[in-house]
Amino acid sequence: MVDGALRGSRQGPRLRRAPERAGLVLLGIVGAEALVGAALLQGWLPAAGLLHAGICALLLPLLRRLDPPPAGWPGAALRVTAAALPALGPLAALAGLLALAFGPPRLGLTFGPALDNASGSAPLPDDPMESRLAAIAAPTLAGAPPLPAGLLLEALGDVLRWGTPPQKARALDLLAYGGRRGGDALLHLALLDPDPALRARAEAARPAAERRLIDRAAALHEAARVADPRHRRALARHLDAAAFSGLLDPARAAQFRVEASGLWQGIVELAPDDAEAQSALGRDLLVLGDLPAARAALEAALARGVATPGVLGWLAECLFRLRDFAALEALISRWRPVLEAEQAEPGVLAPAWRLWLEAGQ
Amino acid sequence: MSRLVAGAWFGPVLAVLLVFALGLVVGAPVPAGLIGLVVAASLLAGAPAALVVARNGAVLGPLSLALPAAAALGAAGAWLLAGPQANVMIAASLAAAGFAALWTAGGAASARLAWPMPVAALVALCLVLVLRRDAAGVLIAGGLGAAVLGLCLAMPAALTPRRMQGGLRPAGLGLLLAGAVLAGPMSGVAALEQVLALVVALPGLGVLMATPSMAPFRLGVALLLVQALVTFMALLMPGAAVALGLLPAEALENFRWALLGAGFLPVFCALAAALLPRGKGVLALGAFAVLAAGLPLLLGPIGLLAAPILGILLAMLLLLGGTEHAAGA
Repeated sequence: MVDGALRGSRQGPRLRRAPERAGLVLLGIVGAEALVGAALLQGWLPAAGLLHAGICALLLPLLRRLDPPPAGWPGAALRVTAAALPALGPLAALAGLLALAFGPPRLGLTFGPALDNASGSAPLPDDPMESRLAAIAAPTLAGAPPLPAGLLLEALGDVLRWGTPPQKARALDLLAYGGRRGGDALLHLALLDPDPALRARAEAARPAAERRLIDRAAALHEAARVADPRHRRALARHLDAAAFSGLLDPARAAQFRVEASGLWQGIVELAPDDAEAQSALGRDLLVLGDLPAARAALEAALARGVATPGVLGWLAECLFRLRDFAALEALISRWRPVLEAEQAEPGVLAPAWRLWLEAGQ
Repeated sequence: MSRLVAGAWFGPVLAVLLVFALGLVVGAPVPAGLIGLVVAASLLAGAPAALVVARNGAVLGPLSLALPAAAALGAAGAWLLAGPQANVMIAASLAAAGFAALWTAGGAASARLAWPMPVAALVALCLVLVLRRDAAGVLIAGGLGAAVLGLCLAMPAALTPRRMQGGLRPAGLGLLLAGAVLAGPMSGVAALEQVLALVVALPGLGVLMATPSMAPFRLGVALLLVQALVTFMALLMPGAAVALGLLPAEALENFRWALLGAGFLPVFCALAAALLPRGKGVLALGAFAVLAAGLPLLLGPIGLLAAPILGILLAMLLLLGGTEHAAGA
């Protein structure tokens, strides 16, 4: 509810750079609720009730103007305080103030996770996740040559998907985000984890990853000023990767995607046979909502022999959203052998492919 | 899950005792009925929220729903109990919402308890007590301490906002859990004796909360030893509650049966926690609620002992049934 209010609105230029203002807003709430508390202690109940109702009524539009939602510890304190304020009034404000004063928890007990499937059970001696973590950690500790990056990321990905929360936390600690290909994808995976502690840990690492993506884009922009198509392609690839990494804030991701689609469009105009550019352009346009243009680009990529499951999936999604089911069935019957292999794999689209293949029989 | 199930008994019992003790220390005793009502209201709103938080980590949605619900229940209960006294109603609603915040934060899977937070809660509590030394002040102080702790525990989970999804089933389970906790005392048979007797269960529940990853055999042995020792000691000196003025002398017989029954409670909690992920927790908790409310009415004081034992037997049957099914499969 409050989260929705904090995320919802695009208005409010005066508070556009709000993250650093979360603390100030919280202090304002504390000041106002202190008056409510004083009135309560004095026994002036109607005055306290009216004042509290007024603060709550003012707070909602104020929070809606915080766009983007405030990040970091002050943001979390503001969110929780705002969620609790209508019921707890001055008590919530005091709790918010104390949380702001003490900062994020550093020392102390770690409460274990509450769900059994995600939690609590001690690792078995032959737990494959433990052996993966041990294998990753051992060479690092011994100073031996590091594991190959691909193997390392695969093992860490396994732990982040299937491990217990303590194992996931150790995996995140082991994962040095900077410069490791695939590290951003793992960070994104950790950001979606149900365990709040792991998400908080990943969230702490996210600004650095975001900054790195933006800096790399700026460097590639500089390089692309030279009229060399290789630099433009590198920039377009990076913008695409950054936009789809899930680590940028939505507005910046959309900006990167628009820019990437422009670059891919330019490449396609120069070289219409460039299948990579066609498929990337199709994906960008699909996400941006230009469905007819996305369909044309993806069909062009397919015609040039890029029948990867990804391109087939994007085209199928595009046709589905265009409600052109005849073309979708034709696509499935044309690429049935590829899709039959794909539906057996544990991919995201496998269930959808299975459904469509069964329907087509 | 064992932390959540055990915490559903552990937290409220501790809260009742602390607020009661606080009232005695300050010299403004809070009526036992009012404390029980505030804690019951907070549990009815907080337990569903805690399970929703544990389900997918979203903390803001459950908080913003549970706290007003707890406040409304607290105020309504105070009205029913003490009539339309605004002072008492506000205190009860604030305290219920504060405790509900603490129970909800308990569901935040990996919240960290930093050392300044309990100190801050204590300071805040003392501040209110200095400013206002009456029953309402005691209730507000208790609620404030719980709110400070709870909200500070919930904040790490709010660092990355998360949308609340699929909360109906966990919320239903939470209501059932709250029902199982409250059914016994709310049945009206020896309510005070039952709540006081739950002190005997606290060490076992503490073991359960502190060692969620202990192997079942070790956990069983630990619970058996701890509970046998504590219940034996409690049975040796049941007169202490009478001597302290907490119970009338004629309630001693009921209290003995309640002590025996409470000794078995941690074992039921361990079994219910094992059943919840298997989808059979609904049956175990529901049956326990019915037994805890019904047997004392039907059998008298013996029902206070029979309810947890029958609950344990049923939970064991459900667990064994699941094991055989799995082995057969």
